[in-house]
Amino acid sequence: MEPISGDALRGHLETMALASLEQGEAHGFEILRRLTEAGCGALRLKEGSLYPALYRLEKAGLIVSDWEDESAPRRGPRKRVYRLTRRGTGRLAAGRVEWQRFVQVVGTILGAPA
Amino acid sequence: MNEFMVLVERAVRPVQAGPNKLTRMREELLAHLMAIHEEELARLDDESAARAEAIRRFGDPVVLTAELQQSVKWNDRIDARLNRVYGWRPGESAARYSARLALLPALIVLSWLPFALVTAGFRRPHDGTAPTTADLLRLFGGVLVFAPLIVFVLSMLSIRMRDAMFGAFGARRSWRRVVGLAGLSLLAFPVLGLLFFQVSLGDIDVMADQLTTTTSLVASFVGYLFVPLYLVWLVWKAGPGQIRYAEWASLDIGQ
Repeated sequence: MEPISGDALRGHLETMALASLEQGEAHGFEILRRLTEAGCGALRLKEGSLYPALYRLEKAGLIVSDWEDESAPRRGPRKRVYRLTRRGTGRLAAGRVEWQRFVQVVGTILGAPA
Repeated sequence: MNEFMVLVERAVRPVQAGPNKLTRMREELLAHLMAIHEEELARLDDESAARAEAIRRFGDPVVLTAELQQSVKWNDRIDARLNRVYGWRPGESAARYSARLALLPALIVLSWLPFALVTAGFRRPHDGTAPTTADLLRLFGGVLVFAPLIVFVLSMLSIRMRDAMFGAFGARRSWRRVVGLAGLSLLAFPVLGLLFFQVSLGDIDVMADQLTTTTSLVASFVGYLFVPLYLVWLVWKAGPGQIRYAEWASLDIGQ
């Protein structure tokens, strides 16, 4: 499968991050791992770019975050754990509807309906 | 780890945000970069190849800076501006930083000078109950000197206390020193307060006679006790963040 990267991903990353968090709270690396797994390795994302997307989602109140439990054993620097808010869940549902409509319209134009 | 820190710092340092936000970005990005490295090391079993792959996967720091900047809130931008003026700057000594911090109350007090002069102008001649212009200016001068002075002293004490509490910036970790500095901060308010009254209001003996009762002394002591307690609490809470920020901000990123 051809890798999907750069511009093709831009604009969808935030909704994909919300979808990833629907499976449960996670830190950035875990969110990416879930996305990579779900995308069967076809996603090619510059990984640092995930964090600005997470910050934008947090700014919009769609996710919240906290530093991981300080008492838990860890190696290296602290990680921040993100989780979906009620608004985020609503936004994800709306994102799915938008996406289906987008695929339907563009698919029809391209002669390859979904 | 240092190479990764430099890469992260290249992306984060130019972002216009307050110190807390910047430290959060740094720590999260570094944790991510190290996790990628660990994953690649397990896969490739070659340190330098894993390192190169981690850097490639992480992405271009210049592009990341622009993306991070777009994610910053308006209040973080205000934080960044305040921090640029009043925050600690890499390589700056405690005394110089405290002096800059003390400038803030001085400027606030100075901005009230026209108001004080106008108020003095309203005084009717031969009105013994209202303060004279000289009295007002004396009081004003006292506030102008002692408000920045107390900020300077408390800032110096808190910095020294932080360094002793966490053994930071070459200081030896010593709780005895923390307690000593807290004791000094206990003295700061009464000593500077007395000096302020002496300089600004004169007649300290009359005031002392009127104010020195057992109740007032006990109340003052209990009140002053909050100064060292608050300072120790503040240093305990904010110290680690300040130290982390200073370590990152002092990193040589070769730019």
